[in-house]
This record gives sequence, structure tokens and C-alpha cells, in this order.
Amino acid sequence: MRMILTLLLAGIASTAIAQDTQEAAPELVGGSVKSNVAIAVPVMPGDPIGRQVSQVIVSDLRSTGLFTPLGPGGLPGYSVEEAGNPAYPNWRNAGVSALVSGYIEPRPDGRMTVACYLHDVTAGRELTHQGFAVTSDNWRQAAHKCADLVYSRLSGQQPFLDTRVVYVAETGPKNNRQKRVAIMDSDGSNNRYLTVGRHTVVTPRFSPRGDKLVYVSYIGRKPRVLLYDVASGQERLLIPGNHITFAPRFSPNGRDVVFSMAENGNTDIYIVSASGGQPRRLTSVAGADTSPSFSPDGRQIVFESDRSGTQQLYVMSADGGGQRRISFGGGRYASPVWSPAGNMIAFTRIAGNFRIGVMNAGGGGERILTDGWQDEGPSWAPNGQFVMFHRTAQGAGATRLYAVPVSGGSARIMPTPAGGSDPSWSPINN
Amino acid sequence: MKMDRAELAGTGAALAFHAALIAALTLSLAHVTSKPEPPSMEVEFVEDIGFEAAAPTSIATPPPASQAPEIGEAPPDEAAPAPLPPATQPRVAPAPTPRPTPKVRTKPAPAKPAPRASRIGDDFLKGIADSPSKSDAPAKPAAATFSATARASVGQAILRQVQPCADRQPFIGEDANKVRLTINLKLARSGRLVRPPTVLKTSGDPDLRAKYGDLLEDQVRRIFAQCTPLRLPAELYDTPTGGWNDFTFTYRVN
Repeated sequence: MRMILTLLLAGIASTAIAQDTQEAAPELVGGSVKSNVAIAVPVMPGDPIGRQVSQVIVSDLRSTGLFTPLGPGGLPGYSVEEAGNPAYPNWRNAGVSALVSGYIEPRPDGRMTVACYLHDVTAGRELTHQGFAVTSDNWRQAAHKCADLVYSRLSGQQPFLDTRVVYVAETGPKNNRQKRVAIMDSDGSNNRYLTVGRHTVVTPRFSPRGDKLVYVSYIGRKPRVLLYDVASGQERLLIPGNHITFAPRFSPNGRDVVFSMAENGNTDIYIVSASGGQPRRLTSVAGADTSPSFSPDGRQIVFESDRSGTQQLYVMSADGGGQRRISFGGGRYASPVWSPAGNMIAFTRIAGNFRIGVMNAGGGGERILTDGWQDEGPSWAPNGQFVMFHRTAQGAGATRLYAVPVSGGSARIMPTPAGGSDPSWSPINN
Repeated sequence: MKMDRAELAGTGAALAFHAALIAALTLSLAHVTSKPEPPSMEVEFVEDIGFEAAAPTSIATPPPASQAPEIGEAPPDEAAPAPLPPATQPRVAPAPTPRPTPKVRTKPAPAKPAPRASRIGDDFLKGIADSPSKSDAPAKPAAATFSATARASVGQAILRQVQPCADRQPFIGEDANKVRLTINLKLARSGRLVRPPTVLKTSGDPDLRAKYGDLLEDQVRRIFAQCTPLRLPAELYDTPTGGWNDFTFTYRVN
């Protein structure tokens, strides 16, 4: 009996000791204040172009909606030597949390180095740095790369600022509008036209590497898919002959193009090698099947179809099997695009007005992101954090490009020389 | 019923004894002097509970000198966490010219509010001086112990002091709250960090850890850069059963 009691007491004691040593560590909970981070971007020393480099960085950071960049005007300068070792107390007094510094230095090969440093002013330490070697006429790209470095380090997101946008530039009156394929940096600079405007064009889309485009040109008043090489400017018909083809997109590996073709009064989805060959039909149900878009793993395709009587979204395997509807809200759904991460699909919702929305890739979880009168034609940023689209103003008919954060927030206008529609966001530039 | 003679005698004796006892007691109580009531004790409600050592703070006999070296402790007057190594070069940039050495501040910048007046006197450390004890018999001081209660209280005190800085941290992502860091602090007696906070463990979904781990660590570093030095009970800094010189906690965001 005494032994049993001793054992019981020993057990209780050891349990108490174990509880004491395994005591949970106390927890500190951060606030998650939804306010923009103030970042100082003073003029980069080393070359007169430094002021413009800093201005581009400021503009890029502001466009993300996450930061309040200050400078380059109104901020004190610093030396090349101080770029990596700034006087943190001085910047703390300036009321900023972060500092982007750097310098510009000529290289023996004739190019220049743009060195970019990001500092946590509050903690008084460098967070990251990188140098970019560019030709002197390509300094803007170095500035975009620097802004991407800052954005990624402070947000945890993949970069997206050093990208291009291909779109349809619209000029002229509403009843006689000229539509040309144009390409520009995602901040609106370096705009140039790829087509001359002899034929109306729609829906230009980048290849996964950004070196090719597919778009639709109304040649002889019939829509035809063309394949365009960005570097050489060479183009060719995707499907030779007199076929009506439209709504093209590249597959994730860039080797195939999926598109719609109207044959014998029915519009179906086809796939063909980007290097040419015989197209393969993926849908055959009565009705118009169009706007196909691959999932990033290449295994599925989302598309729109009016087979049920109204335009709705459907998903099928890449070989055309297992077709199922994924949109069930009121109104119609159009122009679906799979997100780069594969977990969402952006679309145009038509219910009175046209709005841009996103839903889960399997359907459900629908969120409307915009509130314009006519918003359509979504395209994902390569990091999946923004969707670009075109907005037509009520009455005036002017169409402009906008980008909206997927996490919610107001859409911002994209700077284009004239009107624009059907944007396609490129992958990150090399 | 009649009592016999013996019973009558016994009863009489008992009555007489009781009467005598009552008289004796009455007389003795009358001579007791009543002591005055002690003055009423004033009770102060203190904010910090459990930080004080259970042992009395005034130690009559100084304890023997400390024999164990203090490891990793920074001088009490150090200005700030050790400066980080100078920035390395950008990957494609040629080596920049040497940078000037960082300015060394001799005093910490008085950016933070003055600490509250301590209830512990200026001479509270005299009792544990390193000088050899002059007493003949080595006294056995009632050393402070870092009990579970003390540990919990110190932990709460640390978190309470840095919470205003934690509250100011910016939003970094909808799913960032699914990642939790386990952080270790090495603290000097001054309440400053001996080295930057160290991440012992990052828990959560691997993708989210990769995405937010660095950002959360940045936040922890900012919090302790802004909200230190900490004010904690000196006697619990380093005891035989632990102390706040080595403190581990977890961090997450709302």
C-alpha cells in the first residue's frame, strides 16, 4: 500500500515538472496596420541620370499601392560611399521606414552599373542589394529592376514591375477608330506600335517567354489569328487558308496555341502547334465555345460557352475531356483567364454593367474587383497580384487600360499615349 | 428521591470548588493589561506582480563573490545592438571605394521616454557586489529564483513593453497570420539586446513560410530596435534557475 502511494505521488510530481518545463512560450502579436510604408528614394549619385533613375523607382513603388515613396526632390543627397552605409538616424528623423540608395558607375565594357540598396531605417540595417549592368540607353530597365527588388523584399511577392504590356491602341473617333497592336513598358514608357492600322486588330497575347505574340486581325473583314515575332517583326497566319479563327492563347510551355474556330456554323475550341501543323478539335458541343485559357500546369483549359443558353465558364482537361461548368452566378461570364499560381480564374461578369471578377479555379469564391460601367478583358500580372483590364467610359466611348489589386482596392489607370484595350501583361523581362 | 449523606457531601464539595474557581478567575482577569492595537498597515497595489524575488532584498551579510564568468553580456552602457557588418557588394557591380567607418555613438540616442522611477533603490546591487566578502562566516543568501510564475511575469512584462512597437507593424499579406516565428533574445542587464533577435523556428505552410518568414523577422527586428531597452527586475536577470538574460517567445501578426 505504501509503495502504491509513493508511486502515485512520484507520478504527480513528474507530471508537474514536465508541465513546467514544457510551458508554452509567450506570444507577441503584431498589428498588421494597413498603411503604406514610407520610403525615401534620394537621387542616386555617380551620374546625372541618377535623378531620373530615382524618379522611375519612385513612380514604380507608388504604382504598387503599398508604399509612400518620397523623393528624389526635396531629399538630401549622399555620396557613392554612403550608398551601402547610410546615416540611419538622419533618415529616421526624416520620418521614413525604408531607404532606397545606390549609385551609378561606368563599366569598362561601356555599359554602366546601377547599384541598388534597400535599408530598413527603423532597424538600422541593410535588407538587400543588387547591381544591374545595362547599356546607357536602357537605364529605365535597371530602375524597374531596382524597384522590383524593393517591392519583393518588402512585400514578399514576386516581382512584376520590369514587365511590358501589349495592347490594342485605339485612336480616332468612335465611328472610325483605328486599332493597332502596341507594346510598352508596364509604366507606359517606350510605347511603340507593331501594326500600322490597316486592319482592325483585337486580343494580342504574349507567349510565356514574352518573345512572341498571337493576335487577331480582321483581314478581309474576317478574324484571323496571326503569330508575331517581337524581335524580328515577322508574322504569319496561325491557320493557313480562309478559316475564321480568333481568341488565341499560348499554352504554358509556349509550344501550342489554343484558339476558337468557326466551322459549319459552330464555334469550337482547337489546339495547334505554334510552329504549324494540323489543328486538333477539343470541343464539339452545339454552341459557341471560345476564350480558352490554359491552367499554368498545362493540364486544364477554362473557356466560355453558351451551350446552356447563356455565356458561362467551363473547365475541361487539356485534351477536351471532362467538361464541366464552374460559373453559376446571375448574368453572363466571359473572357476567363487562369491565374499564374493556378488557384484563381479572372473573368468578365456581365450583369447590367461589365465587371472584372475572380473566382476559385474549381468555381466558387467569386469576388468582383471593379465597379466601372464597362470593364472587360482581364490579364494577370506575372506575380498574380494585379489584374489589368480595359474600361469603357459611359457615353464618351473612350477606352483606357486599368490595373486593380486582386486583394482589393481601387483600380489605377495605366498611362498610354492614347486609348487602349485588350491588354496582355508580359512575363518578367530578362 | 432522597440523597444519602455521601451524596450530599460530594455535591456540597463540588459547589464550593466551582465557586472558588469563578472567584479566582475573576480576580486574575482583572489584572490583565490590554495591549494597544498595532497601527493599521498601508497596502500598496503595485503594477508589477511576481517580479520581485521572494527573498528579502536587504541582505545583511554580503554573499561570496561570483565565481562564474558572465557570458555574452554587453556593457550596461552600450549604445545599441552591435552594428551590422558593412554592406557587401552588388553582384555585378565592381568594388566600390571603401566606405567610411560607421560613426560610433558613445551614448544611446534618447529617443525613448525616460524609464519610470524604479522602486528599487540605487544601492540595490550592493548586496551582490563582486568584491570578496569580508565576513567571517560565508552567509547563505536567499537567492532569487526564476520560478514558473516569475518566468511568466517577466515574459508578460517584456511583451507588454514592446507591444506598442508591435502594434505599429504594417500589414504584409492576408495569409501572413498563418506563419509563426519562435524568437530567442539574448539580453544584457541594461535591457538591451546583446545580438539581433534570432529566429529559432518558423512554423506554418512551407510556401507561406518562404513568402513571409523574412518579413516577419524584419518586423521583430524593428520592434526590438524601437522598444528597447527593456525595464525588468535586476535580481531575476540571471539566477541559478534561469533568468531573463535568455528569453524565447513566438511572434505572429493579426
